[in-house]
Amino acid sequence: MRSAGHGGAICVTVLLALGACQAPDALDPPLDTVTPTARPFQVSLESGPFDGLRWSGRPVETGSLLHDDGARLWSIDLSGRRRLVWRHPEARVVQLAASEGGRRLAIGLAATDPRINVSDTSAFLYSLDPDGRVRLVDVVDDFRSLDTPLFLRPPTESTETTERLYWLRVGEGVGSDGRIQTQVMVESAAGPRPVRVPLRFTEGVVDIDAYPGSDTFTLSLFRQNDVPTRFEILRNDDRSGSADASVTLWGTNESRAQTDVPIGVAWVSPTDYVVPVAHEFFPDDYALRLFRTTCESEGSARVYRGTAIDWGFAETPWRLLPAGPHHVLVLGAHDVRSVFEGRATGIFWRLLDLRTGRIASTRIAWNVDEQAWAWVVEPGDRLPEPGCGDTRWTWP
Amino acid sequence: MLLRRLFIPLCALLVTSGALAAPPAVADWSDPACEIDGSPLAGSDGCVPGADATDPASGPNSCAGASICEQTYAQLRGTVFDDSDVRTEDDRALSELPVVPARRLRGGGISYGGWVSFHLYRDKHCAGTIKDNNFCGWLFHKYRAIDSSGPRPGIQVTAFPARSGNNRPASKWVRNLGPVPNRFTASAGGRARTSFRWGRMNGSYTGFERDGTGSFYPGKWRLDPWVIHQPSKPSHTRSSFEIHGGRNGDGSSRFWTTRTAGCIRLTIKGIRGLRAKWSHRTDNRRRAEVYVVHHA
Repeated sequence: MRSAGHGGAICVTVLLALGACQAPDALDPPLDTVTPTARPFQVSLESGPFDGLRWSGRPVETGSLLHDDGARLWSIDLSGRRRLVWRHPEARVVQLAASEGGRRLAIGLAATDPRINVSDTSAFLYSLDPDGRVRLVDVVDDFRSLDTPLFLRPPTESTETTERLYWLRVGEGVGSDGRIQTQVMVESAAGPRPVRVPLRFTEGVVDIDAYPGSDTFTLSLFRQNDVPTRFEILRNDDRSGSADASVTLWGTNESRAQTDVPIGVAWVSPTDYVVPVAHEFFPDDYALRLFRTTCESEGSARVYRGTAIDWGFAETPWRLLPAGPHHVLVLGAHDVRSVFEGRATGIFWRLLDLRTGRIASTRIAWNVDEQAWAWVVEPGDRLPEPGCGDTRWTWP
Repeated sequence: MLLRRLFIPLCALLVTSGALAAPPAVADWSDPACEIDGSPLAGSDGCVPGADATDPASGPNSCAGASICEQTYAQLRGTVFDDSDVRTEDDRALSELPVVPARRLRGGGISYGGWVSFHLYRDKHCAGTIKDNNFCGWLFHKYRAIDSSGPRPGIQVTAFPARSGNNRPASKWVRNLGPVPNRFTASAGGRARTSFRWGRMNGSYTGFERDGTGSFYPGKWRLDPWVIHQPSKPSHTRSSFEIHGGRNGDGSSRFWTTRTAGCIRLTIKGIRGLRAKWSHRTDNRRRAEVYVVHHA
């Protein structure tokens, strides 16, 4: 390998993320834009489109969806009835999260085009605080996005009563360890801080899901290789007493499922979560499996098996949504196919009953251009803690 | 006899119901219906651009999204790309580069003859790209500089992580699933080919097209032949291959998470970098080729 100081530097794949490639021999002027480095996750809170705004600060209704159409933030109940929460300047709203009880919200924006240079801001994350402030939490450039915001109680801080906002910074690059460029972040008084998640090479966290306000959560790992599946679902159990875990180190991440389905995990209560489990070569075995944190040693329960639910696999990505303790919202395979083939732009969410496996239609429209959804939960301590005896647990 | 008596009314019924009618028309060649793999519309007159396009203005040269940036094979010696499998199409590509008359050289007395090649490697060259079904994809942009004395020695290579369909060569003739085929014919009974024209569609030059939709963001090049036939079964076709990006609704890249229906997908940055190579290192872009190589 030759040094970058001579006419042409050699930048092999594994080193690229660490240093920018240089121009080749001078046939033309040197390249003035080079592949960017995987820069440290520095904080540089630039101004964003929602800076200085305010919202009502009133808690959003629990047991309802939160949805943003790019100019208005709505509360939508399962009958499809809408209530306006906040009218804001037009923006590309791509992420939403609500704390338990809907007291505080997080709203993520993708920068509007054109984004041409790596130094252009690409995403913003705001907190809508209970005092009515709209506060910029994080901002990134280099074509990165800010994904899956959620409110958690840090699993290792048992005395902490306030939820903290966690989220992901996601880029397109790959490190020398084969991991895609993702970083879990947490808010602190000093600004965003990175959370370390020890993983094997070629794995990266691409999704975090939890019951808002909870101290446990699932991580979706993306593997560079798809053997045995592209994703692995882990559940964090730092709350059970890992000595070295902390607010910024998630260490006890236990495997729960292998899956090719990228639609995330739906936490329907502080203990129960639903995982889509399927392998691409065995589509008829697609299943939604219910896990209960207090019964995981006994397996999980298959609450749906069939081909009616879309995999979120093709060019129409979507995310599985909780909808109360006994339901999740899904998109139908035929519906999504019609969007993919250009026969429809708007389709409707479908409601899956976890007790019966039945799927019912709703009047809640889903649009491929409006991807910001969240379910607003009531405080978890109001829900009864279920036992293990009422459910038939099986494996895998 | 009964069948014969039923034939005419049955035909009338089918025609009125549209079953024997021509495929439904498309608005124009940019209609998304022209981009559906295997659609009978893809080869129809409606999917033929009326005139050659003009490329939108480009920024400066760049290697955005690339893992190797304009390196010669000598410079790649000792790296993971020091491999004869990276050079598979080079001899043919060089022989197909057009001769550049001196009057067509750039201001600096130089011209660039370029091409791209998409390679699928089985369990090899996987660092830095997605591994899908044991195969890893790379899109190489390569060029040779030419000055008034003729071609300069050496090929300059830029490598972008890439993927196509499910990356699995065994599925290459399965519509909406397999990768772009490496051997095909442009018509039933035509001669077998291993390359496409880059930035063309049904014969017309389409160049780089900005496209802000989720499947393609920030843009795409079409590959011609727009409709290809399976050599061993000429009645079977695939169509509508492109090189494009992709962005999820949350703003994140689709490169890692989302397969294509067969098109070649690069990262968002990769599309910007390849576009720079298209504008600044491919002076032959109206006739440039895309070679497809499966290392099965």
